[in-house]
Amino acid sequence: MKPGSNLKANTLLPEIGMLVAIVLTLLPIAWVLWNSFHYVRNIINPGSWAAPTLFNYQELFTANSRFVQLFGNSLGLVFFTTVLCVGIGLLAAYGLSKFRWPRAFTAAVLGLVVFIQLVPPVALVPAYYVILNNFYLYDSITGLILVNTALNLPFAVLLLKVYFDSIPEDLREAALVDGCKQFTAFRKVMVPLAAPGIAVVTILVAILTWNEFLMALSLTSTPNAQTITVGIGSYVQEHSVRYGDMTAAASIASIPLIILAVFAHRYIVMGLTGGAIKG
Amino acid sequence: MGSKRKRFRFLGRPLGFEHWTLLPLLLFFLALVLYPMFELVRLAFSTVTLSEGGFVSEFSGPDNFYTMLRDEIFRISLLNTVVFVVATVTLQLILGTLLAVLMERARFFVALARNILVWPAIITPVAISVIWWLILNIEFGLLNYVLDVLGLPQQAWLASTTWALPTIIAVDVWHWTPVVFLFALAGLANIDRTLYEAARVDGASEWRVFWTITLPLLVPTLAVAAATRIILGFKVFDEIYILTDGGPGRSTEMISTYIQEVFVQRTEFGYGAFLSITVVAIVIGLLAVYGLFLYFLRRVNT
Repeated sequence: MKPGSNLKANTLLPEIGMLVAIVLTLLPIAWVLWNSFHYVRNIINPGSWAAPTLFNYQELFTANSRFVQLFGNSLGLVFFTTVLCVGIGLLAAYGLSKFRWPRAFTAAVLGLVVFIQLVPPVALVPAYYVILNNFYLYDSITGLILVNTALNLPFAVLLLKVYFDSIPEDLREAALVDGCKQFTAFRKVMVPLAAPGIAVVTILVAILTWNEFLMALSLTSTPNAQTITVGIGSYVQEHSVRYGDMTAAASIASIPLIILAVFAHRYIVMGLTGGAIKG
Repeated sequence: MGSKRKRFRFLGRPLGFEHWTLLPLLLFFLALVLYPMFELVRLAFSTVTLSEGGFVSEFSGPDNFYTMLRDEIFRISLLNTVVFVVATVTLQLILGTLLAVLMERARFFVALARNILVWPAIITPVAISVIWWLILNIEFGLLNYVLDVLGLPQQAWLASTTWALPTIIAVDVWHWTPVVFLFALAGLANIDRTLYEAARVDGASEWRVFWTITLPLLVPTLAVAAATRIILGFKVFDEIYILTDGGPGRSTEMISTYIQEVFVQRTEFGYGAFLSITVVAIVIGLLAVYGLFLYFLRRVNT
């Protein structure tokens, strides 16, 4: 029985509360979407009504638009960062979970993993600037991939380690007794068992990398390596009238994430709470 | 396990697959975490100058510390950050818990709300800045338009020294309440139903049940949520950089936006590094105090 379900006020109030929360969440998002389908003259006149148009999107995706390049950069960055994070994270989490290391070593690695989360990323900008510069990786997607991988690895390792910890040791031993090589036991037996954890890490690292702004802003200077977030930021800050591009670009950045939220809700909940909650 | 070749040992084990599992992670940590941290500490006690296209750093002892003590803007940004973190975390805890409690009792909108209420937490922060800029800007923002239609006075919001910080706080609350809500929802699901029924049989009001049963049992979960939010609150950057860039004046200047300014616009790497390690120290200090507080709270309760 739900608490208080026999009282009229107690059944109505929660419904109203939920409705208000839904409206307050959706309204701002809907407003930007709505405006993205309108000309600037309508955007700067909120009381006006006009038929929706695809004009802003067509502008963004014309051949000579900088946005197409930034969009491609973001896709590449997300793909390679996610692959690296999941690959390295899986190996490391497995290694930390299933092999006995000197206690001080494990503590040092896990301590570092936790410590990184406390450091504001802005603190690392100058060091990254110098390092990337030395390797000719400043203003390159490769540089951004490396930095994003380093910053997302702690989350990947922690979450996947929790997963491997929960898989019984017997399964791995059985595979090894059956003559599997270490790597085969890892790949054929352990990795499939950690599939839900892999899904959570993949989705969350992809989202965080797609959304990343500070490093892309600080470690790039040309559209060759800039990402979609840097592009959107510049539309807001340039004091020319780019409201059409701005709303359409913000919508394009957000829509894939909303689709993910609808279809992969469970994994996103787990990711957002650091695996603390199995959604 | 390569039992024939036990000559090479590392960390107490013959060299084998287990070492390869950790090698890539350790390489990344060494190059892109430990080395930058080492550089950060070194730069913090140096003066860095740009000469002939390269950076030259010179040990300058505690000079940056003295600069920091005299730095009015740093003091303002620290104060703003503390106000921002305290206000946003408090509001997010209250609203997140409220939403979770309401959701437990709702039926009709539950499925819809469960999905939609998470959206702000994953939408691109830069896009969220656009979303709120479109609502809050002075000339054609939706909010001022609605206020005007209703005959209420308009405000400058992000462009006003009084309103800018509260407005930024409101945007952050909209952005991150979903995460606290998720924690609270999971915490509620773990509470034993029979406790509620026992209390109700005893004639306790809903309000009393919440204060004496629900909330105390929710505290451990909310404590984790609060710690997460405090850490991320100190890192806040994207929305503020785009919406106000610390202004008007310095009214929304946060530690992170100020450090970025010192690094990128003023290229004072040494001083910026010192501010950075100060912030890390502050966050660690705060978390230690917070941990102790929770520890004593638990001891008092039991």
